[in-house]
Amino acid sequence: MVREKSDNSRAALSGQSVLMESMMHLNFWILAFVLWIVFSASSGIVHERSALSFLTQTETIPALPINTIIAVAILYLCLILLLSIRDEKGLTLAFKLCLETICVIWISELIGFSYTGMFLMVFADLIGNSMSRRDRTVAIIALGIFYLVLDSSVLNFWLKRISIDDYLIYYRTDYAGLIKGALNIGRLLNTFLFILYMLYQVRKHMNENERIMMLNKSLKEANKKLEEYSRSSALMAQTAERNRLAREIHDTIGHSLTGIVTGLDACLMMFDKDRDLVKTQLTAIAEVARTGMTDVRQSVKALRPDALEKLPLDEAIEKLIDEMGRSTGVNINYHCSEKLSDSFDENEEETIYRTIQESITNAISHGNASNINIDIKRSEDNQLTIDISDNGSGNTNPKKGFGLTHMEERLSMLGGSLHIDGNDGFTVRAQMPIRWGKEVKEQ
Amino acid sequence: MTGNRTKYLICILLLLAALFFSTGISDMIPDGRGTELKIGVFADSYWGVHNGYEHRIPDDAIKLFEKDHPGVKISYETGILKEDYTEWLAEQIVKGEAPDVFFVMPEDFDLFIKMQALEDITEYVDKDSDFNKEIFYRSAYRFGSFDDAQYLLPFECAPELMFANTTILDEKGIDTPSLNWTWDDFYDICKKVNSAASPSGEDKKEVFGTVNYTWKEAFAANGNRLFSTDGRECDFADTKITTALTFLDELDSLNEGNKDNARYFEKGNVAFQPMYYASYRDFIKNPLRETLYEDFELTFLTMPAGSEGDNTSILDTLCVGMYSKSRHKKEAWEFIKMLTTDETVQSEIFKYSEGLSPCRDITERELKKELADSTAGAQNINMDVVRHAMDTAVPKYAFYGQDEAENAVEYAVNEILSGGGNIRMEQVIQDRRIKGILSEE
Repeated sequence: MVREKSDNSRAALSGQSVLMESMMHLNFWILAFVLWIVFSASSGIVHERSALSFLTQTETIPALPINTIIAVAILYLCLILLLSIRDEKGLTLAFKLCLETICVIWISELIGFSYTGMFLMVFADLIGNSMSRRDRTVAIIALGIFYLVLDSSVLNFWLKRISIDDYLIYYRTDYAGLIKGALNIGRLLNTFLFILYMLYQVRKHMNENERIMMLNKSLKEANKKLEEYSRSSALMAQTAERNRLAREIHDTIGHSLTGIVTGLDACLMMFDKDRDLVKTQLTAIAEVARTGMTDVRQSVKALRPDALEKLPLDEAIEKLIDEMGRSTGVNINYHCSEKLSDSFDENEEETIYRTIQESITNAISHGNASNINIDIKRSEDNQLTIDISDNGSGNTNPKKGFGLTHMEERLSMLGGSLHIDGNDGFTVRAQMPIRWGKEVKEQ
Repeated sequence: MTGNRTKYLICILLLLAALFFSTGISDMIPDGRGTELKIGVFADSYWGVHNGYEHRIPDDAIKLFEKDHPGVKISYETGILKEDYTEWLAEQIVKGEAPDVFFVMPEDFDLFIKMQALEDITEYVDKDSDFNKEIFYRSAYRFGSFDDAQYLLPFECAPELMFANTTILDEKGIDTPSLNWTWDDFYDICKKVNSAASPSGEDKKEVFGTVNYTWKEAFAANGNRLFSTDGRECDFADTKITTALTFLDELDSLNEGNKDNARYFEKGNVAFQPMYYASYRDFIKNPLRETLYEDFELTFLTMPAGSEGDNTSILDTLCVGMYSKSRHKKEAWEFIKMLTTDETVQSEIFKYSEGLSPCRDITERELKKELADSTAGAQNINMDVVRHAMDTAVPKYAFYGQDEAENAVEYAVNEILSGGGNIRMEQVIQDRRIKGILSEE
């Protein structure tokens, strides 16, 4: 739509220059006609021995026709050249318009103010150029005054110039009438072209305004869409926050409770056999319960794991593994070939932490595993790969529960992925891109 | 941007070129042919006499000038008649080939001033140490000035004088009137001549007091110029006009019944007729005079003074001017000076033309020479009359369209004189009519 409009305005521009050229052609022919009349009349006057009555009428020494013709030709050339200079601004434009006005006044003076239509070309040029509203008004008023003075033959009162009417005395009355008529037609045509030019100008301006209005409208639409988007994104944030809360509850209290329940089951079984061990076990369970409590408190406060809050990621994971191993009696092998701390932002750190925590919890609570292997490394394509495998019962048709789903969600939000396999024990492979990988490597 | 700058530069150059062509600077460039002055002259005499001398005076002046100013050539177109001269001049101006120096007919002066075709020569007149305007008769010199500026210098002039048939006056026992004679004297003599000619015997020829004493002479004698210098205004209702009209009316009543007497002066039966000096010269120098006219003695007198005026003559002057667009103004001025003030050139007027030189000394000397030479046929030249007439003369009406204006006045005067009504009343009516005609032109 907008492009169509600009095409239109380009068409108006070319129409405008076509009109300007037509005016130049027309004025050229009118001037040629006037000069021809002057030339043939002044040689005819001498031939027919009516020079004295001509001079009595004009009371002025006429300029030599050949000089007038040369001077008018030169000045008209100059005017055309000036009119062909486009897109001037400020003082240069004023200078150009002044020169054009001088040319026009001079030409009019040379032909005895018989024809002043060239002024309309200067007007057209003035209006076709862009300038401030104030400058334009001043220029239009100045040119208008010049035009009025020239065309109203007020000047002829002071400056005695021989106009074409004086030369027409030489012709028979009917021919003189024809010549005047022809000149008037030229004048009218010139005015008509000027009006057309003005119409084009007005249309061009209107198109521009329309284009601006169109742009305004689409801007408003975009704004509205943006508002809607921001509203929906706020809603989304709410939902995400709610989901996160649910996840936190599951991750902290659920996790701690799993540990406590599993630990207490073990205690019940061991209670008669080895009291000392049960005592140690209970101490560990208490520790888990306390950690869980701190987690809940923390979640409420910042919804962030307490261990991560206090410790770097490496140490937090090691602490987690240590606590889980001690409280559940499961053997957890941890191997990490990548420096984890200070390499990830908070979100990423939490995802890594939660993935490991959730996987351990799942392995213990669902698979009854006794041995868990955790391996963290960097893959070829600059991905952090976390492999957690256990020797538990596994599951040939695993359904992603709340924990797995959220793990996956978290990873995908960071551009990563989650693969699970329950055929031989249970294997979880979590992958996520390392964004600061190179720097980390260099460091 | 540099492209635009080039365009502006071209434009300014074009404007300069236009200036070069439109202001005529192009005509100022020397053409390498040396200084060539063109002058505008007409064949034969200004006074309407085909004397056969054609361009004798200008030719001699050119020879003299070219001798004094080597390198300057002067040319002119031959064979232009006086009646075609103004049209010829106008054509030259339209063609852009106007002569640098040209004679100006009195009636064209006003037009050329309006056209600005004449150079204001006041500065040359004032600054040229070789030139002294006091050598001219003041009235002749004033002819070429307009609005306090001098445009023309007088070349040749002729005052209107009153010619008297002394044979008639002697017969009637009337003394030749003095220099300061008046309308009353004029009327008395006319009345005496008329009454003396009352038909007492069949063989006696009719004798009349005066012919051709018109309103022009009467108005001038009574000190009223009637028209303004440019001929746009007139004051026909003036009281001096009333007096003049009354006088004309009285004079007219003497000639009652004998209006058709134009050529009687030449036949010797009219006592007074106003005539330009040039016509007198033609009259007395005409080789056919004796076969054409009666034999009688004549002399010239000053014009009779009106009751409110002076013994004022009307002066006709042929002047020379410089074209305002001349390329050789210095040389043109030198040539004008030679034409109008050189003794040799000016004294040729008495040989080859019928007027008087506007230079007082030359005229007096030449007239004295003629007086001494009895073969010249000018025995009755009265130097005092010439002096008096030239000193009091007023210029002839000289404005474009003066013929129409004069006709209008002529008609008005005839209406009033033949109507016999109240002159004052008629004057006011005719004044309006004449003013209407003048403003139409």
